[in-house]
Amino acid sequence: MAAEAATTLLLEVYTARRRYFAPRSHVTHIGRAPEPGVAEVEGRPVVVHSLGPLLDPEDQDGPTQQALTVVLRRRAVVLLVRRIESLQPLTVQPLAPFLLRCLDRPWVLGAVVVSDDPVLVLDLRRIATDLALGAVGGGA
Amino acid sequence: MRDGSSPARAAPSPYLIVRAGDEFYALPGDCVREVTRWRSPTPVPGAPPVILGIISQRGVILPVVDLRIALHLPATPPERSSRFVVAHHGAIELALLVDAVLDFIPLADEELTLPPAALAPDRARLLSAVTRYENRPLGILNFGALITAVQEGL
Repeated sequence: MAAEAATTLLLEVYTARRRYFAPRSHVTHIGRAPEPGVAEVEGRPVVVHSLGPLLDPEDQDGPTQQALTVVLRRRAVVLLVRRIESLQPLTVQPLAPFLLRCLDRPWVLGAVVVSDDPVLVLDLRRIATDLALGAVGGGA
Repeated sequence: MRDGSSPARAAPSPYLIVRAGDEFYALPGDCVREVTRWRSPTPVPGAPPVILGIISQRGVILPVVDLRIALHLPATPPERSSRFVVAHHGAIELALLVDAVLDFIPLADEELTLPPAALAPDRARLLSAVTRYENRPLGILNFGALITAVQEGL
């Protein structure tokens, strides 16, 4: 049986080519992209990576960048996006178990249907953890 | 027949006839929920190429499986005739991308034969039988086997 849909406070973020949602609770800081050379956030070594190319290799950086910072136990991960559009409570529908079993990485929590189109809800904590471990993104 | 009676014959079953590339396939009618026009699916990171993404159909989010890729046929850009066949197998529901939906016809068991031994194994395992449609080969898809193959990465 699929899990029931739940209402969650979601950030609406845009990469160069796509729109995603992400739980507000996954993000510690929202702001401008950090200056080059910043080595630590909250006393933790920081990993900076663009979100778009992680999810779609053709989704390259745009000119305007904002940052979503996910603070983990030993590291902080800054995910760059083109812009953050809104923060709103929305109902997240889980993806079908059939689909989840086929995915390489468990980076998607579900989807929100907007104007009859599904928009993915990302698990930023899992993405940040994989980045911090060097499992993706060319190493930490 | 010796006593003038004939063995009871099973009633023909309905099948949805679809086109994938230049080939014709049939889906058992009892697994088909509806047919809808193609629209661009939302890609899902980390999904295999056979899963094009997800769509919302009447508010329900469905994975989209490309039948051409499942059958190891070349995948071409969508055409005006492209359709999603919303189909289910047990609790699993998905949208199957096909190049066209052609017909909905009854087929009797007597019309069906086993897939030929010469058929490539990766295609033969997706078929339960074969027959003819408009004088061309028609593969009867085993929808359960198709789902298993997708989950196994084909």
